[in-house]
Amino acid sequence: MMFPPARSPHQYMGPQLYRKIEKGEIGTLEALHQLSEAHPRGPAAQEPSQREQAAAAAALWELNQLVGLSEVKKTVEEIGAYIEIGKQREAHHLNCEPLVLHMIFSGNPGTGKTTVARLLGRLFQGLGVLSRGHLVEVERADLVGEYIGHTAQKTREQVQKAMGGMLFVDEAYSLGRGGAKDFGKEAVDLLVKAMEDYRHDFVLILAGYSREMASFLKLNPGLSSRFPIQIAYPDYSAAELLEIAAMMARRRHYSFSGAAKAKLQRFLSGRQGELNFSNARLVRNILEKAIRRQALRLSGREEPGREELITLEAADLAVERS
Amino acid sequence: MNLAMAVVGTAGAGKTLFCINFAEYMGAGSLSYSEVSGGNERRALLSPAGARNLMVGRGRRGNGVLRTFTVHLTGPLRRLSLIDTAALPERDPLPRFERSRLALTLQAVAGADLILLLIDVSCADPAHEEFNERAEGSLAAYCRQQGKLFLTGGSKADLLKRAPEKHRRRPLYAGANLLLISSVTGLGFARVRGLIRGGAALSAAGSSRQVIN
Repeated sequence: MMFPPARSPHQYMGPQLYRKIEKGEIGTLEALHQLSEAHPRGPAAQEPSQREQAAAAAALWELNQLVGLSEVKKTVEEIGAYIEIGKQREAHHLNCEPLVLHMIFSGNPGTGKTTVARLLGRLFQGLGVLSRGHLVEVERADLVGEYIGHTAQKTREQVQKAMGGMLFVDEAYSLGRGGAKDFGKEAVDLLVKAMEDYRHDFVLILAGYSREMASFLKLNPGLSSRFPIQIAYPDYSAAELLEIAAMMARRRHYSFSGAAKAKLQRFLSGRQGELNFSNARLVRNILEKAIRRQALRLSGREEPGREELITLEAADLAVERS
Repeated sequence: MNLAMAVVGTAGAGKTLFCINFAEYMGAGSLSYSEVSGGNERRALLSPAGARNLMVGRGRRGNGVLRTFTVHLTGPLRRLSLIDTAALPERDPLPRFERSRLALTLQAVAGADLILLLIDVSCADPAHEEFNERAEGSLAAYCRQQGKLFLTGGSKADLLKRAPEKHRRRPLYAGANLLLISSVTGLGFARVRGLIRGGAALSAAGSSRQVIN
């Protein structure tokens, strides 16, 4: 594509932006900022490559394999459909605003927030929404500084790292602690600015426990409305956790005996609703401990059979002490 | 293939000298040159020395003129157009006479395959730095969206008295390293040439989504 100087400016940059500049409604920086919105996506950026499309399909498949999370799956389906229809609208020269995808994930530990965020990054890259699709996981200490000016520097560094992908702020409610003089508020303000300025190639996800996140959002009026996607991750039911445990075990070439399954289900049913219940993370810890105990149990035997090497028995589950 | 590079920056960033000297570095003995101003277009053929004499130096500012220097090359990249844009106005609100200049510059940005933002690293004015920082962020986001090549060059690097490492940091969101350039000494020209050739190869293969320095 060569630059032909005789062309009318609005043919390239959109008539609305051209009009705004000519009327003096916007300055240089605002005009540069609006250039992305005024201009349809370029031919090189338009279509994700076959490899990226395959990666998106793989990420979607993995997401659908996750147990439960029906709300998340439904939201992702909506986003995918919007992008697909948006492409068709663009083909018919209809206006199609880029989707703002900043999100709030609230839920107890182990409910799949980080896992889903990682998959979404890959999915959005494959769909052409994000250019890189990587996930940068941060917490309060990565954003909040110790002296004046330090917070801005740290937060900007993290945003810079996440450009083209997703910034996942775990335990985001901790940014609201410490009162008005705390530097956490400054970090929030900078994140809000970045999510507005770079909304087309940057997704911010604030994640945390349900109750704390609700209090945090109340402390910052207007913050909640900036996140069009808010997903609550409910605790898994005992049956879902059992399914997760079986799946985790299967991936490692193990399986639970009938007695072990029954024991695990009893334990999980009893623990649900507890304050520190950590859902899938708890199941993973139980499984890892069971694998170690099985190894100890079998180590005394001479040449255990294949079935024995696979099966985790009730005795291997140290659930009383987990 | 042909490639158009828009050289963008605030007034005094060194855009014109970069275009002329880089064209000369790329092997242009004479510059095919066109100038757009107020809807009129002029064309001429100039030697690099003649162009410098005419366009660079005190009192020879572009004043909102958009110039295109065309370099004819051999190899896969047949023609390189260096678009010397009108300076990005820093005033807000924009005076009437600067509005059409900005429109002209944005037109060049929208039409180019590669955007080079030049930042005068010898200038330490914080307001100027902030303006450049924000302009860089917006241009980088635009180029990512469009799949265009984008790089940020720190011009007038020969005027730096301190170690250049201080200026290598990129303050904000562009996600790019600052490429130090001196149009006087030719510092950074080889790197720009490499990026242009690499970008041209990617574009020819149809695989370029974005390349950021």
